Amino acid sequence: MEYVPPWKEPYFIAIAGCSGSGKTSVSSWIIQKLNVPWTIILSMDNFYRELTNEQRALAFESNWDFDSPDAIDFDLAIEVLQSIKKGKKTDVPNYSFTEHKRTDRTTIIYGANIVILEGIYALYDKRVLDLVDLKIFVQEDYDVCMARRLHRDILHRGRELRLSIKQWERFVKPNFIRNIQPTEKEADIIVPNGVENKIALNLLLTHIRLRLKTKSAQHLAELAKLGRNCDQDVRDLVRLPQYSTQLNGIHTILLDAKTSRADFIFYFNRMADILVSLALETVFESSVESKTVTTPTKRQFKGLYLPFDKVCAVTMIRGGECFESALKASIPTLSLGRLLIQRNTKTGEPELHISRLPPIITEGCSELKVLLTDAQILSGAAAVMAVQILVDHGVQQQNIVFIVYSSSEIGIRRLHAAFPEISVVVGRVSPSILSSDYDRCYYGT
Amino acid sequence: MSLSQNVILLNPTNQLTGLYTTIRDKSTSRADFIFYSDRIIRLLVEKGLDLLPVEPHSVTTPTGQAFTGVRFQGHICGVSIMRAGESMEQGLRDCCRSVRIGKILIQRDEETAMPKLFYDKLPEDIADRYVFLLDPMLATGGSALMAVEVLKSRGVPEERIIFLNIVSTPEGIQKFTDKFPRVRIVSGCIDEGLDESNFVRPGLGDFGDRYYCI
Repeated sequence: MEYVPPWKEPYFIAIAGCSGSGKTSVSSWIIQKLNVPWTIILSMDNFYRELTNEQRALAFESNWDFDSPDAIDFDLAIEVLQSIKKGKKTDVPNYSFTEHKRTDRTTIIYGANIVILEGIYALYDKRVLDLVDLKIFVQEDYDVCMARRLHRDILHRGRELRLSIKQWERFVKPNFIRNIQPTEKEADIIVPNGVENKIALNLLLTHIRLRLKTKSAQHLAELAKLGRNCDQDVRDLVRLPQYSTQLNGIHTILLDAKTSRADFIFYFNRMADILVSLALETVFESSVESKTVTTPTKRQFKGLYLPFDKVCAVTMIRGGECFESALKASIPTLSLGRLLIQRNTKTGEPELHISRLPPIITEGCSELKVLLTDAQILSGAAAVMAVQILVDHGVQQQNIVFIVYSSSEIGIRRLHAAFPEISVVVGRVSPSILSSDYDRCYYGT
Repeated sequence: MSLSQNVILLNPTNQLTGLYTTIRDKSTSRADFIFYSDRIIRLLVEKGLDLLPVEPHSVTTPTGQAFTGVRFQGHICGVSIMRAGESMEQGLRDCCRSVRIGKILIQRDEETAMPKLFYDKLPEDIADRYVFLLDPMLATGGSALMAVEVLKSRGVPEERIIFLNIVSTPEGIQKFTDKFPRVRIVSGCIDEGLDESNFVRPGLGDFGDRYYCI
């Protein structure tokens, strides 16, 4: 059963209009009012074609037509937009107006729920239109557009008045009339007076919020369905440490409401060490190479090489961070990433706030093993989302080991239903919730 | 070689073999030697602690439910055989908060070539404690046997001594089980044996030197 994260099929909004019509202001207003972290504005400017040296010379003299549809690499734009639509981690090119070329840097987009594509040609290409959920055209008088454009060119881009006017008359206006204005008919809604038109914008906002709410409800419903049909014994789906009296004693201390914080931290660290060690055992069951070494007394020893350089860890803020000291003590030169996934208190939906993955993951090493940690799994929603993030970044499912101290049965089932190939190392699985405060006890807040 | 039930070995996982491969390799840097040895020591300490008795214990969890588990019984202390044994103290401290640690210095007497006790400092109530005797190498067993003698002379019964070591030899284990059959030995690995100069085969060199000096 496939898990569909909220960033798959993000809500796409395209905003087109004349240069200086207020597209950017409208986009910023919407983003600001929505006030959720997973919205992004993507400018069509990123997709300007690379110029030849002669063309670049013309551009510096303001003699290059940036307002023609030919100036834009629509194929590249489609490729990028389709990747974002699939929910994949996507590199967006950057274009430098001061140098008139693409920069070496790209912007990485990942986890966006709402994408606003803005640009004069946002509604021009049929393939873009097919990806877009809401099409907006911002309408403004030519003289207002021109005044804004001159203002921006002269004050913020250091251009000369004469050149700016020349550019407007020669390229901007003719292209608008010929190529951009006709795209108005593709729009779902035409907004006159741009950001001043609060009634139109509020209508838009209501519509977008409604769509997001529906999307969130779908996400939650999908999550709730995950793992419901699984009746396997959860103990067969996970790896538990071998029973020992010490382990039982540590569980007892960690579950006792009267345990002091000093004791709690100490014993949690001990438990974390045991679980990390078990996770590494799992990792090294397959990915080891034989290695023969010479001892200081010049004897040969046929052993194994542990590829620790292909192991990294990602901790879930903040429960998973309780494992960090154990991870650092067990993996030499550990590279460590973090994820913050929080439950929306109103809807109950897990939401991705921060994703800082170690470079070794983003570099795309196919054998890389990733230990993902959290203190506990309750519904499993955040755990499923975290694994999805790793998978979206190219980590193979079978190379992920989820380490968790305590889990509910349904949480394990959900994780297994969505990602049957990952390994789960868990300290304790219980049908009922005996404590939900592990990270609070650990951090004291 | 059939082992006495009082000889307990770590599970021979790939991870463990890999850790040993690193510390046996003479080209391993001291930083890595310490890191990988510390890992093995941690596993040994956990294994050793599992031999301690517990009693049933019920607690109330933060969600107000009853949980019946166990509680650790009995007091413990560590005794390290200087100097290499001291490398194992931190591993013990990481698992047992504020554990008391005694020291024993035994060295080879230059005249008799026999091990000789030079110094000891042990907790006064050691007779009432479980004792974790720490020495990373059990080669001929000379100093460890003498250390057990010292502990016994302070009233510690054999069955409350747990000897932790990283590498042991069949010869050393044999001497131990013959002389102190009730002392429990927790070892990470039993090597092939001793060579003509009483070095462990294949061994890992002088543990103390590699952990502290080289």
